[in-house]
Amino acid sequence: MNAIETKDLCKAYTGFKLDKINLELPEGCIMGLIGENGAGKSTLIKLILGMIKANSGTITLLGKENGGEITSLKEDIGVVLDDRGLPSCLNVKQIHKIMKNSFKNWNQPDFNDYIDRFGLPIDIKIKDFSTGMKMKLNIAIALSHNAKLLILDEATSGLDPVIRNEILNIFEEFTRNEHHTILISSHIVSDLEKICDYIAFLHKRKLMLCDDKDKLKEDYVLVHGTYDEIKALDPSSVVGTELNSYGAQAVVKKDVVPPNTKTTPVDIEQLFVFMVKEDA
Amino acid sequence: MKGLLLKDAYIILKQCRSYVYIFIIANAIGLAFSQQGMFYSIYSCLIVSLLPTTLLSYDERDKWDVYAQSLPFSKARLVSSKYLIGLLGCIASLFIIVLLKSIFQHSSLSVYFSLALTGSLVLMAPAIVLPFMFRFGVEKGRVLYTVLVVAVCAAGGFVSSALSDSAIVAKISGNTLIMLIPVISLLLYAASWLISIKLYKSKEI
Repeated sequence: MNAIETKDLCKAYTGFKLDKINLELPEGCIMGLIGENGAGKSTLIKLILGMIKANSGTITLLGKENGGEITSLKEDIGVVLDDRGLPSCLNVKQIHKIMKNSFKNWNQPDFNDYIDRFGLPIDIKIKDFSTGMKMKLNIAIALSHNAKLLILDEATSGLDPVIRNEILNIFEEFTRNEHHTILISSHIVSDLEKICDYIAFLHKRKLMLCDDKDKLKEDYVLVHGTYDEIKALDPSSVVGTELNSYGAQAVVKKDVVPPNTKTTPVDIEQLFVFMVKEDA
Repeated sequence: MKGLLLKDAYIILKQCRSYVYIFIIANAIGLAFSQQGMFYSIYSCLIVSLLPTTLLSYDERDKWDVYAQSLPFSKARLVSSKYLIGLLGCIASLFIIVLLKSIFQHSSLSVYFSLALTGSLVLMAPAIVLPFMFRFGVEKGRVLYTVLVVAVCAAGGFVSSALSDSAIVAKISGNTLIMLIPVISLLLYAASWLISIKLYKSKEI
């Protein structure tokens, strides 16, 4: 079963159109949503969560087609939003009581464990927390009501590398249960590359690519050479090119690279950057 | 709903202490001057009935209005919690005022009667302002509220002068009109609640 499935999803505002998004995220997997600022990542997440209405297309969440409000489904979805959203004048103790009275499946021991693990003070007002601490509290809430699906919008931004690594490990632990799924957007592509099974590229409100991460890394390579060598490559197989003072390089489909060409493996960030450059 | 009410209760206790001070001062003045006391009592009740608008502004500032939509609350429930707080606040403040007056002033039954009637009138303030705030946000809602109040007052003055000699008005005694106030207030509050739900459902944050 797909935990998230969107078909021809469209949303238009004045000067903004998210166009025909077709996504499939199988249960038990992690999908990374990559895109530049304004690419439409947060809008797509809000559409999936039913916070805004699509102009056309369908969304299926945990096997249920979303035709309006999805209040009961939200018991099974843990969410971290870019804007955080917790009342700044309250402390962790009070937030705990609010959430305990909001979620039917609130797991108090889990929440207490995460608060200890993240080293969050329980008596200090949230407005006195650092950005990273606020993010950790939101993540602790998302992980403490036995959710089956986590939807995380820029959930690792503002965190130092050590805690980011710890949180990425927690996300990986979460998906060890085959019924647990994560959709995570981030501009820190290395984080997504580390934990994701699937990668979706959003660029200028269009889904450019959505595929298995390992397959993407197998299918594409980075070719190094002179400007003329790069220019001689089959244009239909070139994802993007870059000229620099040392010569030129291009991300190319592996199966059409001529023999004896100097290549190195491509990472997801390079693939995205070259793809966006070509489209610019 | 319990989680939402608890969140608002915490915010009232943390951020709205000034309301408590205003309530105490206004009622102290009201008790000290029995004749003019009614104005201060009703004023303190009005302040409490507008608590939901203050709570909405805190929600908007903290982006709770967006985050709450990712929690298992329907939009109808998000709206209803604010209306419930306004209503409960109004009833509680009226109860406290009546209690204070009975202890310190031994007021006559007619004072309590008129206090309850005019007190129910204060519900009209949140009933008018809340739908605008749910539709347009707190800042725009406040501007529109001001415009609406001016328009309603102007229209009211015009209608009242036009109907001053009307036979219909003459048939309705002052007492009958005042008896209708609580009913009209509650009906208006209920209608406002339903309108706010509809408006908030169509709003995209």
